[in-house]
Amino acid sequence: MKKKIVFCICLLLVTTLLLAFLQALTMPKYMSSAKEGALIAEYYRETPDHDVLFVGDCEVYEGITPPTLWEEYGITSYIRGSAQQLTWQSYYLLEETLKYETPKVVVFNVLALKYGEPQDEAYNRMTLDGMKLSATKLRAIKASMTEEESFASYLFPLLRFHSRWKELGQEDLTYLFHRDTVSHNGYLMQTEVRGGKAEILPSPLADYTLPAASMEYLDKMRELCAEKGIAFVLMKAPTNDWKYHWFDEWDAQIVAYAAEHGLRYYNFIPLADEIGIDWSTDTYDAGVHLNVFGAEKLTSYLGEILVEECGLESRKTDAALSEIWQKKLDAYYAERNEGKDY
Amino acid sequence: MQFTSLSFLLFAALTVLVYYTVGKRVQWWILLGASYVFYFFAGAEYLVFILYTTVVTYVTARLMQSRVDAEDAFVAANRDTMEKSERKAYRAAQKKKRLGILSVGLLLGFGLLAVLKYTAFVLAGVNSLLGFFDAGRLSIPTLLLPLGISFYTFQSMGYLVDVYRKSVRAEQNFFKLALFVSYFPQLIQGPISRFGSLSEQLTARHGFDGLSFRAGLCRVAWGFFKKMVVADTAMIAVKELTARTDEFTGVYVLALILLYSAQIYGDFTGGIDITIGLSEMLGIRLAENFDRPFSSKSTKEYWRRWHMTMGTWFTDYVFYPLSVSNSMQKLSKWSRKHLGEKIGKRLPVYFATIATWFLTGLWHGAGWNFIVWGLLNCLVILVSQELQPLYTRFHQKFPRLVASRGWSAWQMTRTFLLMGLIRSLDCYRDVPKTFRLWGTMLTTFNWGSFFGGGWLSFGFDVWDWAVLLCGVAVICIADRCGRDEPVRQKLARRPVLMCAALCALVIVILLFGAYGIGYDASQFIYNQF
Amino acid sequence: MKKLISLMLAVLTMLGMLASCAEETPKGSSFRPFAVGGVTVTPDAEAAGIIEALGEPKAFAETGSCYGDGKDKVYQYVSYKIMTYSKAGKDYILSVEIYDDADDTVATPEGVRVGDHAETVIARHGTPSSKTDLQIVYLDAESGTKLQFLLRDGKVTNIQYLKTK
Repeated sequence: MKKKIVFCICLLLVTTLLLAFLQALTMPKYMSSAKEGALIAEYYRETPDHDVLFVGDCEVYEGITPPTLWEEYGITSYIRGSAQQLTWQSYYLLEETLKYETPKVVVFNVLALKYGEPQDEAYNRMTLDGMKLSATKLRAIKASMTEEESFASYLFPLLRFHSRWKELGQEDLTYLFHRDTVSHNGYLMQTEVRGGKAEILPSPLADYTLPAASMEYLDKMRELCAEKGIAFVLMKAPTNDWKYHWFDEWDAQIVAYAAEHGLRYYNFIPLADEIGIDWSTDTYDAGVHLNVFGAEKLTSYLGEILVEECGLESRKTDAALSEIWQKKLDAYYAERNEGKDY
Repeated sequence: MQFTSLSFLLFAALTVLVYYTVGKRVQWWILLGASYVFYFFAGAEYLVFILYTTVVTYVTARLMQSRVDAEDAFVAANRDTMEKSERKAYRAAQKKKRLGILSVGLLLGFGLLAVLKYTAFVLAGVNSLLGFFDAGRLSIPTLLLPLGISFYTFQSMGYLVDVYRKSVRAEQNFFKLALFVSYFPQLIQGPISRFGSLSEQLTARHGFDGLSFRAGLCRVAWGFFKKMVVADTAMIAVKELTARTDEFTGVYVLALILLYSAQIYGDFTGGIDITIGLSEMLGIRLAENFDRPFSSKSTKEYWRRWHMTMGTWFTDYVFYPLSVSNSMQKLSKWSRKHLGEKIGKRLPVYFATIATWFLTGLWHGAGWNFIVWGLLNCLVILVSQELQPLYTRFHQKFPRLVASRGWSAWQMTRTFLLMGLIRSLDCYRDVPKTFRLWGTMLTTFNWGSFFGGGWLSFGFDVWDWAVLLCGVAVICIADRCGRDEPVRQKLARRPVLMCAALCALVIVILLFGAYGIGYDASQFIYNQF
Repeated sequence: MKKLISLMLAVLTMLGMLASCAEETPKGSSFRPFAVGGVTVTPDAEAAGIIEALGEPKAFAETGSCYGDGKDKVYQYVSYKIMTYSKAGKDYILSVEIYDDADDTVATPEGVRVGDHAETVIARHGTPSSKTDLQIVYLDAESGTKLQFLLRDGKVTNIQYLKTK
């Protein structure tokens, strides 16, 4: 009898291990395509000591280059950005990150405020699957799920990705137990140059009021930062695209919000010329997102603001820190010069 | 709460746990509570309808029972003074009165089902008639169809007839009857149980029996496998094949017939396995609903082995009473007199058979496709009945051929394909379209395009085929191994082996099951009936 | 007995009515799909033939998203533009938008153009599914499409045919 029970327990253990293995095998690795899916998890490998933390969507993880901020201003920074990161996800990522460190400034990109409800399952997975299990993550999942999704599939991603057994490839084996670092402190480099602008008109909306749901989480971010004595800064990255058009009506609401709460808000769209953005060379997808050349220009401009207006100081005198960042810079330039992209 | 959802698994586990930890006296209360919680999750507004059916059933049965009791008491009291013929006449008069009560109960019970399920169908029919005469249109209301209403209504009405026939005593405790009507594992897709065999079990005290618990658990897991790996995988192709009927004609219709056979088999028998398995874990034995139906050699046999509880329900409560009813006797007399013995004898039987199959079709759904489906089944049965002498002669002439394995295989294949063909009415939904598509099997010879890549053109890739075929093979093997005794019983006696089999099954279901995003979450097909 | 029967029938009728109340059909209306120059543009229809029939657009873009997969396309013509989405390698119509009145042949099949009064919309299209100062919306449950007229100061500024499913 005893032997039988022991055997059954062993069997259950083996099954659990096998399921864990299958889960690791079937989860997307985001190493050679859709790399933005790997961004969120990379943070946990980083020493949590940053002056500035960025949260937001593609406009931060493709628009700001932390190595440039260090190189030019001696400011350390990290981007917790992810594809179509919704405002509640930004909030929960901020909440989580603040458990590890307390930066001096938090910068939030305001584009996602236009979304008042969960949007897309694939983007949800890319933002949430990378988070470590915590109460914060569970709340983030609850806030983000679209109707078709199930909570259980976030706790056991095998329930979501099991059908990938059909498409397993070399990448799934190579990255079964580890991942490469794809970003530079959260910056996903794009080196391709595809400029120009399609002469398409943005589609107007019936109602430009920013949704209450996203504004509520903006409030929560602001309050959380105030609580921790962190300066909360709002930004809107420059873009030239009709589809991701930032309407003046939205902008006016953010300007009013910032004024009401004494926040700094920088809309870089009208400043694009001053920043030096050249729409024919500084984007990689015809005006939607900045490439590395555009991102560096934006970062230089933003760095000055951080120094001048937020009072950040250079930490280059810290030898140990300098050494760490020199390595980061080397890796950054290596990729930049290689001109590799996906 | 769907059977194949995580919430149902948790709900069932919790129910089983509470069931065996509380005192045995209150076990049935737990079942009743769980059933209503289950039904509440399906839709709070549905509760009104199941309560209505329960109340109607309870009141009608009690009224009939009190008459039966009074009748028995009267007869007993006047045993000495009453002549036999007097007694008979008295009983007959009482029976007639009871029939009145029964009729009201049936009217109210079936009435609700008829109103909810068939209003739109009838009004649409009226509209097309009105349209023919250019006489305007009636607006068709959208009625909601409470989950499982066909099943619990049939079960309740069967009980009323049983009380009327005095084959069971009416339940005195309202809540016990409520449990019989609403018992959650069988609430949404059957089997249709009989009061005599189920009620006592539901309210009896059940100690934990390891062997039947384990066998039940295996059966539940097996049901999940059939539903999630086989049925839901096949569904991907079935959906596509029925959605693009302009493209998928000829051999694709045959493919649909085969794929849908796999789907409905996995879906329905899988669901019933979960129902019966779960009940077994609770110590309750439900009636079997399937007996390896696809190895039937004739349509008649098929219907003895497929959805058995529905078949016997219709036999006992429709076919039989109809056949022996007064009007049928009159018809029989008249037809024998006017049409001769040979035809006259058959006419009433035919009439009862056709009526039964018409109702069986209608029970499956409010649509012409279901009615035609029922009548085609009937046609096949009647034709083969008529051809019986021919078969017998053939069998006598070629006894060795008929006794051979090949002949059995031919009979099984023929029945399987014929049933599959008729069943495709269920997929295509539209009767003329179905007939047209059947026709293309003879006129459009597109086997070449099918095997030249067409087999991968309806949302099914090589891997889906592999999963489906392996799944079907596993079911066939398990069926074969379980001919004398079901595999789960054998496994239940060897816990270690069972544990290993369950673990393997769980892994297979989790990995190869067609569930989650990318696969449309699918309901059990029989929920709709 | 008769009383009992009629009472129970009354209960049954009420239950039936209850059931019909519980699932009222959504307020809806139908409208014809957008058409221009004899070409009908139905949401979810395959795009290739339609785009070819409409001729060279004034402007064209393949739009990316955060994900970077540029699958959606937009074709802008005089006064209207057509957006498509991609599924299994084929493009399908996602939406149609009438954005100005430069081309006076561009209107809804019912005859409403950008610049018309809100009253004109109601007069030509009938009772809407919903109406505010900012927009008038018609839902067509059958085709799963939505037609919305954006308003400013009581005049139509933009007309959009969208998929709702």
